Amino acid sequence: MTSRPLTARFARSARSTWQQMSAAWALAPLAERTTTILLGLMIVGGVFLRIRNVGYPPIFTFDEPFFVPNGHNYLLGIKDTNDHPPLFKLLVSLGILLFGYNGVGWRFPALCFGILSIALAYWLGKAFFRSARAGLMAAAFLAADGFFISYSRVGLIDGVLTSVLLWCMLAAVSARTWRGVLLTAVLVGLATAIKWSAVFIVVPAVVTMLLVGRVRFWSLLLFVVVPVVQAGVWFLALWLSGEPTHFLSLWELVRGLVKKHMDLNRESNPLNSSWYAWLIFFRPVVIKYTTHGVVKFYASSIGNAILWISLDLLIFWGIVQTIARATGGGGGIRARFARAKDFLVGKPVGKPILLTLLGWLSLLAPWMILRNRYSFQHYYLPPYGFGLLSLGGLAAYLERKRPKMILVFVGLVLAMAVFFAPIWGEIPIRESAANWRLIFPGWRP
Amino acid sequence: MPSEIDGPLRVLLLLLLIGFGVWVFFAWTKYDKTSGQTEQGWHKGTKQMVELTLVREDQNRLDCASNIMFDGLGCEFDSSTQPRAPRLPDNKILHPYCNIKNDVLLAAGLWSSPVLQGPLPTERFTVVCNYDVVGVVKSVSLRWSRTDKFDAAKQSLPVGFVSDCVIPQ
Repeated sequence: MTSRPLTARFARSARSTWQQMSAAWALAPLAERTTTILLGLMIVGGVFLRIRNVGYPPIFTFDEPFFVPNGHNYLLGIKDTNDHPPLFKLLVSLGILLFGYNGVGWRFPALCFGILSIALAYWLGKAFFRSARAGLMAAAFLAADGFFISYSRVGLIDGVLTSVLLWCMLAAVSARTWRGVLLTAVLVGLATAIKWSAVFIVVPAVVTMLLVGRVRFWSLLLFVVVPVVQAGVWFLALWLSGEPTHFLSLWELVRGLVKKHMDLNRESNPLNSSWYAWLIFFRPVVIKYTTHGVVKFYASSIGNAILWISLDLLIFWGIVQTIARATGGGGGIRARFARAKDFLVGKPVGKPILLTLLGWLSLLAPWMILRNRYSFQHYYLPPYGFGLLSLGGLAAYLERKRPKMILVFVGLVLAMAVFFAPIWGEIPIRESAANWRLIFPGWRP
Repeated sequence: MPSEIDGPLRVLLLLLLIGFGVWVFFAWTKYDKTSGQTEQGWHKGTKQMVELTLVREDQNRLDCASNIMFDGLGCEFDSSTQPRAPRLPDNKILHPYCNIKNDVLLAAGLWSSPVLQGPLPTERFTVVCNYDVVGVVKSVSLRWSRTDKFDAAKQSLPVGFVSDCVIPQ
């Protein structure tokens, strides 16, 4: 395939989207138009907060020393000593190659994928909920959330991982034949070449392909390429770093890393937190923090409170309602099951919400099961991305009946984003003003 | 090509566009002319200001082992951790030091600096010097005490000599 037809299709798609948006704008009531403006502001502001002065400070912050020097090592042809698979560090080395060994260079992949995640949220929301409005809501929510903003501004693995996982799900929801399955499997392989925990995306991806795309069951065998793709990335990395590139040396390397991860599980860290604490952002981390005279620069991973509280309420309410329908109201097991099923998938928005929440649950489940002593708030970034997709779809659905309520909701999300923007995007701020935002001592650096 | 491939490929195209846009933006803002480089960005031939953290006992306990020589500078021990023969002059012998950001570098000439000839502080102190980078060494072992074994350095380290040292007051 040449780039020309793809570019032409991309241009056609952009033109078609613009035409759809213009038509929708002309028909929309005032509340919906105002909501659209607020959503647009959230996206533009979100991109601005990601990109502004991203190279500052020109020194390593938080966990950057674990990843960046190893990315640099690939350019020097020496060994990567980090305990994660190599793809993220290879991307860091590309950034360093383009910009030099400075803050912009090593944060370049996180920034690009951080912006890409906004577009992915749009496409995924549109694909799952069959509504461009749902896509717009999801994109705006992801754009205006500090968890995603801060991880787009730092040379760390999690923002890039989340973006590739969203990409996997876009491939899964688009898959109709073995080709789509193969592409999804290749993307899952690339995601696991960033971080092994990405393998849990297989669960929602497979369920989505079977339920939405109705792909043939046997085509799922193509997921056998996942370890092959990962091994390919490893071999490339080993070759670049001048290490032996035969299968046995890779096997020994992987075994060593698995052992290292098992050993880490026995260690503790002052920043560690359990999975249930992530749901209420009990222990967000200020991942960039510098002082310049009387002002300070913060990039906190605290999320947008309106969004994470709404997501928690959605999940809690969904569980309670399902249990209530399954246990109350009398009747046999079939009747109870039918009532619960009707609640969950009776409305058109039910199935896509369940699928996106399956993404949330699947990516959270490993940490729920392992009850890891060495786990951190940033492990919640990928599941949270899928949670925001659900929220975007639900908001778009409710807007048809209650546009004013959704206008107020979106207004609150934007207000919260404006209030927290200085401590998400490293806008100079005095400590006292920052402490108004980071109200709990545990949230502060 | 079926449309199921288009969506994910469109993401790749957009990623490339974003990357290009970011590259153009930072090229336009001339970022590389204004940004600082970290210590690891030092390259051969440059002179840097470094602030090394020391205790006075470091004079006799920080060693490196490698066969490599740079402009007459070398480790006191060879790669088999045996003393190099013939011994290099003191001001040509490399020792490992940490700067205040905990980055490791190999430097010669520190203990022959005039400022370190008098009585030294009894507590940990820092010394600020000019550091001329003459090379980078990849295969080198370090030890931080005479009673320790040599350990291979995990990263490449800059090699150079220090001059014009002062103890900040």
